[in-house]
Amino acid sequence: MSEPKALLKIRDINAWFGDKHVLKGPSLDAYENEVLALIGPSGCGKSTFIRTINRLHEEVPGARVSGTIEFDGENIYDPGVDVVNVRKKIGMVFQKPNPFPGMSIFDNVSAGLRLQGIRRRSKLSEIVESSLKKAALWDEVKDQLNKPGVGLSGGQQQRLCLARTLAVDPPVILMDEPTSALDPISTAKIEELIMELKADYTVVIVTHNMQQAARISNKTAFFLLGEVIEHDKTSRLFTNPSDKRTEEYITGRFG
Amino acid sequence: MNLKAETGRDIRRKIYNKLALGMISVLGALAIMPMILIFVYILIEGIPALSLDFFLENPKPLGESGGGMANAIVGTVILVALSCLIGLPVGLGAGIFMAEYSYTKTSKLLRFTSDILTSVPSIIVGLFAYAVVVKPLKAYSAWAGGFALAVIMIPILARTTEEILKLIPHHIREAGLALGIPRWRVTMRIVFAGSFAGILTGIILSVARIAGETAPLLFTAFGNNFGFRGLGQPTASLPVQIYNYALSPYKEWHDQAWAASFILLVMVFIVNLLTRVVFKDQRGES
Amino acid sequence: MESMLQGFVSDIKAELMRMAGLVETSLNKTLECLKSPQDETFQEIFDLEDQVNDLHRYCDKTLLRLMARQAPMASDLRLIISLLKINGELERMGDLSCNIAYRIREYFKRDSLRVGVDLGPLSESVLWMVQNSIESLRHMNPTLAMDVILRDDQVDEAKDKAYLLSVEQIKQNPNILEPGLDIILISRNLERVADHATNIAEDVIFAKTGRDIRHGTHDEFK
Repeated sequence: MSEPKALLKIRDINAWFGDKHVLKGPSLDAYENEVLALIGPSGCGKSTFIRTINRLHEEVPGARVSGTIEFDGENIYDPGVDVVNVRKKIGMVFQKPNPFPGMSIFDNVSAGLRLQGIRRRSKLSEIVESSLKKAALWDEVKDQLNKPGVGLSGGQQQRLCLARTLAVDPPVILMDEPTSALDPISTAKIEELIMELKADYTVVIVTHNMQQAARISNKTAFFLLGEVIEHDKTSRLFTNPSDKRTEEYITGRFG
Repeated sequence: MNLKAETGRDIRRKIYNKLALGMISVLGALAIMPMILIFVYILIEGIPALSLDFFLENPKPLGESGGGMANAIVGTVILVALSCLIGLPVGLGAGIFMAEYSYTKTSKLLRFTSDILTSVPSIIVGLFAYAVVVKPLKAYSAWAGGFALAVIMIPILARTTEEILKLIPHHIREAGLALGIPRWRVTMRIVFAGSFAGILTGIILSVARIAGETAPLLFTAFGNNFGFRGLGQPTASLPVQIYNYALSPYKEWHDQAWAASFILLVMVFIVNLLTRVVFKDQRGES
Repeated sequence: MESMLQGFVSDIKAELMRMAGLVETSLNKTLECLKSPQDETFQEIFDLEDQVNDLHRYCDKTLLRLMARQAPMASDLRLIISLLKINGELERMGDLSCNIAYRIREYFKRDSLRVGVDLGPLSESVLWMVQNSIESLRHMNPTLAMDVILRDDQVDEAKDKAYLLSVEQIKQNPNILEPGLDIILISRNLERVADHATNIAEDVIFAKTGRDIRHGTHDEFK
């Protein structure tokens, strides 16, 4: 086996909301075929961190970022970089399932491609089918592709959103607490999908559910007050963390 | 424990409850009364004056019997269409801007001026249109009337559009951006298209609002008795026609005014009904 | 701050310490019988075994439920896994203590045939290891646990010595074959008690530090 490649090299990221300094220079690598889980108490900056990776943070009024994030060797914060191209390569699934309103299932999944300018119906159909299959939703919706996406159940909606992201085929998929609004069965399905996605993608997932991080990730990073306290193999971090603060957090002795 | 209402306090409370409920019901009925009375009155007075001629004929000179308001019906449709032509792009554009760039200074200014403009009396809007359109062109015209109505329509439409677009949660926009879709396409194809039913409702309601305006048309579109002669010419409209006829001393004209009121009411009613249907469609979707 | 989980763990550990106390008492009484066998003492030992078995079942069940419901992590997880294993070790020690007592009773039943092997030093070392492994558990003290582990070699030596002496004497006087075998079995079982004490010590070190030093991988500590 060849050496795993660090697809994302995140260095010294600082982020602000107005005057509030929420990220204080964390650095992390994310490798190919890896699920990296980000854990930490609310307000520790893990969601902001993940949103700096696809440059979504800067869309918030008054938000600022500094630092470098190399994606496949190229700094996405270089002045000449087009943010639209960054987001085509680094997809994102959100906390709440958010299918586009007024769009059919087909239109939802093909939205990224269509609105980037791809028109050929045969190509769109092909990609919609393969994406829905990858998101394990095809069998449930193949006869109702023209029905509105918002008519699906919460769990199905989230898989629809995953399919929508997969349709653009980004090598990196960011997930911001993707199962926190779902029931346990839907959660299990999404987790299973994440495990499968690992074969082709790099997944960075923010989760409040430590068991989830323990179940599905290869590596885990513990965030506290805008910094990475510990970043290690998941199996080690959850059995024998090296930092006392990590230990206190994961055993629930925080406070 | 005794859960039945037996003590004096329990019984008193029940009586108060019934009294309060009764009072609210009476007040509620009083509030609906004017609407019902207007409707019934117009129905009784208006229907007898209706005839096929009313829809097909222009007004006849005084003294001749018969005649109708075809000129005013056509005129109202033309004025509304003109005001939509001017008002829709501006109103929708302003609404989209306020919703999507809501934190900018421009948006705050837009919002403030919209609110002021909404509360400006419509007669003043008419005067304004007279000053900027009628006087330079030296003629009453459909253009001037359409312009005046558009000025009334724009702030209403802008604010409703803004409110409706804001109903789309922020994370839907972010989802679009995260797919690598350019910002303006997210705005137009996801946010705007996604709330189309709501926007349509906003448009219809603002149309219903301006269709019944009289004051801004008095010295802009002015009115005529001979039917539509071109956008640069004085143009009749139902509200103005009603106004003129109702103030006249002639019984036939009074009857025609009633009939016109009835038609105007039905038009507004249909438009309102239309919004219900549109909204129901949208609900059926989600 | 103590979490809810840690409250539960403390409760179970208290039960486990009670069980350890019973095992220690049992072993003490057994070793007492090695010097002066008393019928009622034997009975006490067998009664203790029943109590130990009850606690064994109880602790197993409670720990299982705790894992199912509290999903422990990190030091909590290591501690619970260790307690689960220590629970087994203690039960085995109790069992062995009973076996030894039974063998001692048999030994003293065989008329006046005696074997000239002094089990004193062996018993002393074993008892020390048991007592201190339990102490290291009580205080979660890895240093003391390490001392226990290092003492195991002495026990092995003492057992080998007892074995060789017994064999030698049986060869010289085949009449003492049966009591000789008794002595061999007693020393062997005492050595096994010490092995379980070693395991407890290793579990304590794992729970406390996360290091697995079993199977000769603890050379760096010596």
